[in-house]
Amino acid sequence: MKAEVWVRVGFYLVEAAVLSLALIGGLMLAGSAARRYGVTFPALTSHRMIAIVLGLVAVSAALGELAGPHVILHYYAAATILAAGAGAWSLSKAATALAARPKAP
Amino acid sequence: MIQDLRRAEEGTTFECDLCIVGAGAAGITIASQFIGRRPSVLLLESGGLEFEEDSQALHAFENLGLPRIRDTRYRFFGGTTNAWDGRCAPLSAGDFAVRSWVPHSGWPLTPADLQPYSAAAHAACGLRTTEYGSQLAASIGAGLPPLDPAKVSPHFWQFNPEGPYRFGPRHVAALAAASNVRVLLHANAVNVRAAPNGGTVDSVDIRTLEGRTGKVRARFVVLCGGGIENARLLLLSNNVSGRGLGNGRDLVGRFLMDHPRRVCAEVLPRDAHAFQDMFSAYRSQEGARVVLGVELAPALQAEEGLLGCGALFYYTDDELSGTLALLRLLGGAESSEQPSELARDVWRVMADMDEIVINVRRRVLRPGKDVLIRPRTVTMLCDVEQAPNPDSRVTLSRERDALGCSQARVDWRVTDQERRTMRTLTLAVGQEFGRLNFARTRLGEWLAAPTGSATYHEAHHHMGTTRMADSPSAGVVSPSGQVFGIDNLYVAGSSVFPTSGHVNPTLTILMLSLRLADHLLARV
Repeated sequence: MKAEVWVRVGFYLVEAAVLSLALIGGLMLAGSAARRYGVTFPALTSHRMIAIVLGLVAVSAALGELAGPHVILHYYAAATILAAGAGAWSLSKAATALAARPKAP
Repeated sequence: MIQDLRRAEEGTTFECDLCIVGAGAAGITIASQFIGRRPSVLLLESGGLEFEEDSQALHAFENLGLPRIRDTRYRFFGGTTNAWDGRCAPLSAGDFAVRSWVPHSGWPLTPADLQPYSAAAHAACGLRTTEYGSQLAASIGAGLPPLDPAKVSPHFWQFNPEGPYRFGPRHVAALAAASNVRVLLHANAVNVRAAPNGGTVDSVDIRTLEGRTGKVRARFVVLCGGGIENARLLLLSNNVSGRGLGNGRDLVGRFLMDHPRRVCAEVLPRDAHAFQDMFSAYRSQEGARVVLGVELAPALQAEEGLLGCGALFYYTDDELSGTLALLRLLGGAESSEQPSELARDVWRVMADMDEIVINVRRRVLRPGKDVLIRPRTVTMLCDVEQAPNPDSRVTLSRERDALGCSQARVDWRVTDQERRTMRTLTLAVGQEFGRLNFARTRLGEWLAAPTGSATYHEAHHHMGTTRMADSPSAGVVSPSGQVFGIDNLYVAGSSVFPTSGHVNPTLTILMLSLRLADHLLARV
């Protein structure tokens, strides 16, 4: 039995919002790490954030409706980006601290 | 009205138009059809309204054949529906047909004869739909597995969504309030007395465990005591013929059938969640609770000379499941108790977050589905149709019960045809699951050899001992349920089944009972 349409739409919006937090958080951490290394990373403007949220709503709804509730690839993707961003940020932080140490004469 | 024979005068004679012996699914259903009608009805129940040890002890029997559990029937108001799990499915059209490879097969009825009673029988069990095919699959959003229809078919069973339907508590108030129906408790039928010419029955002798006796004079009598007791009472009723009532051809008690049941394979799914998602409980738009399993295709039965066979998949929970840990934590939170393994359970929740996410999504997107808990093992449990076998039978023992009546002597015999059927279904399921990349299956060791003996669990479905037939040479009762040669004696329940199919019998019992009630309403 399928849930009411408005329940499903509401669920996809909430799911996309939660995943957006992880995805955008991961991208922000990755951007911060990239800047430490002097690498150019696209800025996360409000337009881009809205695009990410809407894209996730679309992915969430498509997977939920077509593949069923047990396919959660978008969760894995968001979790991977968050983990990668956090890892890159941690490494860059450590590398910066190492570089800032006084060098032996 | 509800009365107790223990409080009646010694030797009371009860007069009625219709006497129903046994207040189980069949007896209560027939009695309910007479509420508010003209004929007076007396419904005899051996026990009381609740379970009593001494009444239950009357079910003791002598066992000669395959091992059987003693307490699989219940002897109080509601009968064995006091213990059933409520699984229902109708017989298939093929179950009614004569099959050349199944001796003694074929019903004297067609599915069309029972169809008018299908909706009422489903309603009488609290079931929400009469559909079992593709319409039901569409209504529950089930993606049926693309199994080869020449070998294996998906098969649905249905349950009452509110839990097992107990006929006793459900009907007691209506029967008690009916002015033309009297329920007589603790009234054990010990003899059905035939008239001297043997062509009719006059009365039913009744007795309590305390020794109080009585008599029921009825224009019509219906036996609804179950697959073993119906045969036993006919054999005990020998005041005119020493062989018992309706037993001129020595057929009463023969063809005892059950559904031999056993775990046939371990299933190793490729994706445990996806497998469990498919072969698990569903809820339809009408609120029906159904379970998907598999059955042996009729084409393969005909090709290899096999019987009907169905299987459901059972799951044992993986203790490492995050969902299980979360449920334990929430249960502990609700009951304000400290969970026994708090740290481990928190870790399991964190480590198994994907399963929890899946369950959250299922709860919202498919609210009718059960929670998924990753299974540690998946087993395939088969119920097989039992071939009608005249040597599998109920006779009378020399042992006596507390009423002084001969106990039943049960000689349940299962042939190699049932084992071959289970083996073929299991191998076919294994091949199909392999082809579809669903799972691998590990055949049970007891099925490794193509032939051999086996023991089974009974499914507590006693059938066939007063089988229905077109003629007295082939059975005990006519298609209407009337005992051949006795004008006013009828039998209802699974004892009249000529063949059993592989599905649970209650739904068919109810259809036959409703049909018999219609017949009796026209006659009584």
